[in-house]
Amino acid sequence: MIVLGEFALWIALPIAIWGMVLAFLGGYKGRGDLVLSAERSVYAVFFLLALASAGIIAAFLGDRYEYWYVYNYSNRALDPFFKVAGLWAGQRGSLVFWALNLGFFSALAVWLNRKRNRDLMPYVTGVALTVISFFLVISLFVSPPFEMLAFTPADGRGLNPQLQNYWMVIHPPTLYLGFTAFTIPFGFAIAALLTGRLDSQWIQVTRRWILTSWFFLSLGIVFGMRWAYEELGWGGYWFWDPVENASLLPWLAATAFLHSVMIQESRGMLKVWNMGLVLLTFLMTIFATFLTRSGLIESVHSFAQNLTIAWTFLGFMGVAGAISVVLILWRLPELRSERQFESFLSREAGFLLNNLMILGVLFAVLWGTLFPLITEGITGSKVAVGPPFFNQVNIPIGLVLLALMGIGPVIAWRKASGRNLRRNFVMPGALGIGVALLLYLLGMRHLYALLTFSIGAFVIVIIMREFWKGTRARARIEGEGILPAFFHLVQRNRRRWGGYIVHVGVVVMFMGFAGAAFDEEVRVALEPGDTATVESAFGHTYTLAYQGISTDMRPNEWRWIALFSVTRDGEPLGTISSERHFYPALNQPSTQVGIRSTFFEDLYVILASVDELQGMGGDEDPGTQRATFQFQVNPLVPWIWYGALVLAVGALVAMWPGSGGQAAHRPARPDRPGAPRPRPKEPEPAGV
Amino acid sequence: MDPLLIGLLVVAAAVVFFVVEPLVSGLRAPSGLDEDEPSEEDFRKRAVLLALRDVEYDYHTGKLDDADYRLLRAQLSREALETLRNGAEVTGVLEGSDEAADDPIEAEIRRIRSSMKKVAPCAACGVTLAPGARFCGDCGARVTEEEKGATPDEGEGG
Repeated sequence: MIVLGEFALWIALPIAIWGMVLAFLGGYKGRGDLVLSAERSVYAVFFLLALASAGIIAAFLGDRYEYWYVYNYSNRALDPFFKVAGLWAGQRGSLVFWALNLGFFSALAVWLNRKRNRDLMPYVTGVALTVISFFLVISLFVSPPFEMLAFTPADGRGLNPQLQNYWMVIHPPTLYLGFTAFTIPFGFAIAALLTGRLDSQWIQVTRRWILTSWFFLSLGIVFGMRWAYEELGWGGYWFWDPVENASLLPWLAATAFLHSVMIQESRGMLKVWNMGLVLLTFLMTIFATFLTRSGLIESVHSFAQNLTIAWTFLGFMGVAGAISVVLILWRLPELRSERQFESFLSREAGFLLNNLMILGVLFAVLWGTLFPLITEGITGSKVAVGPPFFNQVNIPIGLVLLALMGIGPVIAWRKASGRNLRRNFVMPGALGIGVALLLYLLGMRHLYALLTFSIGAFVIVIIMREFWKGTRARARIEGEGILPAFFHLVQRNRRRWGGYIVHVGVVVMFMGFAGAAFDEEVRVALEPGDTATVESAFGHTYTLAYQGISTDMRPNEWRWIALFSVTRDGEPLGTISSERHFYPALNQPSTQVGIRSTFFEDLYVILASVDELQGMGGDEDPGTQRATFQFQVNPLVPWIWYGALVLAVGALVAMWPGSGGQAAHRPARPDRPGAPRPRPKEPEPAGV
Repeated sequence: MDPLLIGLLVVAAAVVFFVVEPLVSGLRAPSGLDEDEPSEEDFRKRAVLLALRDVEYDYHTGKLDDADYRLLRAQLSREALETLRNGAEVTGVLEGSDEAADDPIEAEIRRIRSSMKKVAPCAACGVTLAPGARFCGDCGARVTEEEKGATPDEGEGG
């Protein structure tokens, strides 16, 4: 199996290159046989990549430590569950895994479009195979997963303890699905540029692909947050770590595109801008993979050090970017806008502001991520850019974006009149201010938090009113009951309503983020019988009585489990346990945070260090079970996860296949014979 | 011969055959537009009609003033008309499907078509007139009897 896997990887490259060349050639010459061969290459490459991945997994499961990759990321005692996940545990396997994901989406795209979009498909196929070829070249020549050691070690070095968590099995594949799915819309954009069919088709055809990519990216990011929150034990979910930032960059670009594309659809504007955003998003997915997997920037996720791979990635991104820019410039006359902006008080302007804000965040994050690297390159010493920088820049922008979520849906297209503004904003605005005043009177003094809750209330009221107005209007016009009217309303325009649901989710998540302003934290060393108290921002006090530590020695990991009984204002709440694990094979610890979650807050216990753990070599006071703990009360953190759930539901509503969405690709009745359909190539007639 | 080697060769041969076969056998991938596939025209129509639907919705939920509503509607209707003329039967694209009966876009098309049949744009400012209107809602000009009864499609195919 392993040999077959390696062999499959080797023949995948020539097949991919063959398909790539034939796809572009077949598209250019209009040769159906070449195109079919190229499309079959996509299926073949996907099959070969599946074989290669199976080969890597087989090497892990078979404890074949003569392979460098298996030796470095596994050991005999490792749970088979994590051995399977070894495929994406390190750079070498994860690049094959990336290609496998893209192979899957490419094969899916070819299959779904076997009878439609035929004029674009050759180029889509060509682009997908180009990207796959790039990853195959890296996997074969720069970072080979099947490289053998000169000898066979008795055991492997083990998997990084932070990765030995079930999120390891969920988070990276979700993110990779998001990254790779975006190659397909990028392919369609390039196809549109090459064929000159730049109007509505590629935009409508790719919408569901983009939503799919966005959905997986969103979930991937939130899963990563959850992983950090439970597992890394620094007390939070987001640290503006380069790898976290890396996953955020393509998400931001895709979010900007999802919004600006709506202006192109309904108003025929921003065509160049949209092309630029597709390109930017694609480059960001590659860049994110590069940051995560090149080891260029040290972070909790980066375990590789290899500079050849860095240059390969940069070269690929440079070439892809340059070709795309040249194509856009070439088509510039045909991408001109059909209309002009008429007013800054309009929905178009709102969308544009949204785009500028999102890109502002994107470049701030990009800069903050790259700055340490650049200074290191120039001065030789690393300058850390920490959360303060990112928060300072991004929180105000985030608040403007939050407000736009309320303003956008109700402001009119083209030009908003004073009456429109009054009618739609007075009540929600007053309510938002009311919320701010109320919270202020209740003692909240944190400016950003006040703004978040105030604006959040404003947005939620507007969205709820939208749902109500739409339902009522439909009920009146169609003579339906409220409930059927509501369902039909959503069903008829799932993108609009799904989008609103996503916005509600984002507002709830933002409120969850704002809760961080009121985190309470106590760090203390305790012996069994001691108690610690920590106050909640909501006014009550938790008292934790330390019961002691139990140990659980397993072959691969040793666990220290500290137990507390918890009371809130004297009322017993039961027990909470917090764990610290130690991995002898790697000589590394990891934490498993104890979390007691309620609707409004988390009680969060980190076992920071166990004296006995260090004391195995000779502690001054062994056997006392003395340990250092960090207790936190994190208000509203659960709202982040609830909000993410709402967001996911909204995204599913918008992207679910079927005729309800605007993206519905309706099969049409065959034309009557003798009624040929004209297909003008010239740009569409400009509006009035 | 080593059975492993034979296995590898079989896989390689199968893959190569699968990929190269179209070049030998003359099998072709369909190219260009399929008979029952929406054309660029159809996509454009769809975009315009969906935009019209949004304008209607915004108007009904009080986000558009009467004047802006009429102007936007007039612009989009004209574009829709444009595509209807160019693209032969828009209904040919949509009516055939099973969902046509309760399809909102289909309903929209019917509404636009009927409204276009009934009224010509205002002679003074060009805004689409409401059916039966006696004055233009935008500029206030009186609507003549000819305009009321005129069908803009006349003599231009459509």
